[in-house]
Amino acid sequence: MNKVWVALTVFLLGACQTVDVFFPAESARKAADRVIDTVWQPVSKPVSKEQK
Amino acid sequence: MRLLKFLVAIGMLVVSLNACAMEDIQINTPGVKAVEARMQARHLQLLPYYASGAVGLNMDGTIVLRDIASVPLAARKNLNDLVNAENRDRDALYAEIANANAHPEWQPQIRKAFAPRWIAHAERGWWVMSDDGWVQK
Repeated sequence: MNKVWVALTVFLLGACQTVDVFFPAESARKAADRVIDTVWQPVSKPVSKEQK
Repeated sequence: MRLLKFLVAIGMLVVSLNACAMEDIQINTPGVKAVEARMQARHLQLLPYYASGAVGLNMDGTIVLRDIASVPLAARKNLNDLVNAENRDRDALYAEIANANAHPEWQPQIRKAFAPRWIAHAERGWWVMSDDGWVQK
């Protein structure tokens, strides 16, 4: 019984490192928003107004 | 005793699952910031071309030269270089973020996560690719 659990734990730990079952999609989306804000926001707003 | 072992095993299982499921995507690394800085500087140069529609946002997290005819001949080479450099940096960005999170194999998922967000952040008037082709936001 105990061996089964240990084996299962090891398997799942290994699985989430090798397969992307646990890719944190929501966190990735938030990271994307933060990066895009950094890359676009500070310059894009004032400049686009000046150009119109 | 057996019950205790069982509970410990369950506990280990939960902890190990959380360890990989609750991971936050890390973006505060020198590598990511370096790419961000390059893209930020380049964005100023690309901005008028997004607005004119010469450059559009693709669905795969890259940008595309969609209307080269609208660009003066003299500026075409420069714009072409800008688009290529931007797409190289976007690839580098996705790779840097994947590496920063110790999962280089996540690069395709990072790209997939970014692609709709670029489009969502695009300003009114910019051209973005959709399932039905180019549309103006």
